[in-house]
Amino acid sequence: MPKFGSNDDSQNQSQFKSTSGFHFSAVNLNKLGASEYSLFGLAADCSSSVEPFAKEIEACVVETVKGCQRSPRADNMLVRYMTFATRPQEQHGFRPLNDCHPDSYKGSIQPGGTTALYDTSTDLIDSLAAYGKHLVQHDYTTNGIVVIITDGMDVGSSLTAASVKDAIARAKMSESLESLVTILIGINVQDSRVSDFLKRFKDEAGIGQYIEAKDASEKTLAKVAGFISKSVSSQSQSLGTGGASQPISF
Amino acid sequence: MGADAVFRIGSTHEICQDYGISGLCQPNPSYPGIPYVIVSDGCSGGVVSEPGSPPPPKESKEPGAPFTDFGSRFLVRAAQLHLPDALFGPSTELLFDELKVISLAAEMATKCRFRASALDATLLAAVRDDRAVKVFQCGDGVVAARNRETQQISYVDIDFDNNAPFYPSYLLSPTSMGKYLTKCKSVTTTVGVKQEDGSWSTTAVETPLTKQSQCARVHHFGPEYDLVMVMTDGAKSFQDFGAQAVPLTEVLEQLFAIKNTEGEFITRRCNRFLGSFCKEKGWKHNDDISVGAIYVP
Repeated sequence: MPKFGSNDDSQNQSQFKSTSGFHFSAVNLNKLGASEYSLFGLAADCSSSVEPFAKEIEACVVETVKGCQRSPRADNMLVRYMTFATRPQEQHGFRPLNDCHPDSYKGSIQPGGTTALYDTSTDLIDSLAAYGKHLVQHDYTTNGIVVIITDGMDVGSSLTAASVKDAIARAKMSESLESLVTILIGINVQDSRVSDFLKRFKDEAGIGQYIEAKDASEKTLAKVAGFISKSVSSQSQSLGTGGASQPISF
Repeated sequence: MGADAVFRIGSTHEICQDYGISGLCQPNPSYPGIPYVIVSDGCSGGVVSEPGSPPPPKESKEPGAPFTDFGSRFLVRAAQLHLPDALFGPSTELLFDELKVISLAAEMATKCRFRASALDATLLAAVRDDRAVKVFQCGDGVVAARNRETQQISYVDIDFDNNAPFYPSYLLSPTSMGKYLTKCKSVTTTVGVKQEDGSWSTTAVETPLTKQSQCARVHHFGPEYDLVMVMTDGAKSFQDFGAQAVPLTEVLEQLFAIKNTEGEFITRRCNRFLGSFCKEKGWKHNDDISVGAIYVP
């Protein structure tokens, strides 16, 4: 199991509860010296079906973090990382990007279980809105980007695609985030039913962009990592403009 | 760090002639460092032909004229370079040796082939001295502080006669200094204190200006204050949507509504104040504004 926590973490974090009732953790404000932050929420599927390419997904997450850390805006990014199978699981709460050590993400994908895609998406989006509101109340300027990586259809969520849509709407209406970018990434999508499902989920939930990869090879997921880090960097650079970044092409 | 500064362009300006910085003065890396802020307001009128005369209206839209945007930056940089001497050298009553600072700034301006008038800018600096804060003021501007126990805000607003603030650049020539004292006859010091009931009590005292030593001053804030701010007179240039002047006290109340004193705390406050609050209220500041703040935990 990856070790994201340390003795210092519990002293530097607080627990929060979002509108949908999910709990999340986030760094205390006394650790945030900048005037603005982009909140990056990343969720990676670790259901049983990803077992053949679990290592590739992990590598993708590691490269995503490294790529974001090369951004000129790295000091203004906070990251929350989740994995999901039967239930969403927070691997670490919102923390400064520069406190995210790439090596600590190895072993975070432990395949097993179903695919709580809707629950996780709602959890992640609501946490961005809730923490964004907390930051805004303390004069920080924030925007957000959510990226969800999955290989299949939802199985087992207690919530629905409509719940995700509501979460996105709440986040935008709350004005806690200057803008919100949402991206769904389907990997190893070889079955047309899965492709149709994910496209429909994207539309029903109002997710901004859907990227589909036909395989989950090392090369493809490296490309996915590059796409994610560019999207995150672009959204961070748009902070202060009043609007979201333009979608990056895959 | 406990020190932060921000500057923003005024709505009627094409270039920002204000400048502000914050930092830690560390004579050597092993020393923890003394937090400081330095702000400056460059003259935004045309070239002042006679020290002490009110600045003529700008007639030229030439960018950078009369280069006081550079001048304010040179002045701040010169003050920053002078800080180690000011803090660790032989102590002076005024904290800064204005002549040394302006002379250094003049060297920079000369290298850039600017006239001395480019340095027509005010200078305010605040440095933390253990649990106290010392403020150096040369020219007009506002110094404000908050009592850590009562949260009561108080301020000192310095205004010079003839709308002609004193600039350290006048020290470069005895003639300029003499002309200034001929034209500018008095300085008005307004002191304001917020009362428990939320109202403000202010007293203004006009003092004849007869000698150079009156043109700069030092304010001392003891450990009973946890937050000290220096700001240029742009803080008094706010107008509401009906073009009515917004009282300085209302601006101060917003600036002091700091939520979190970590890192860029005054940048955050100003971003929220200027970007959200002022937009909602229809306020705008006509003049450039710079604010520096020192927090003493």
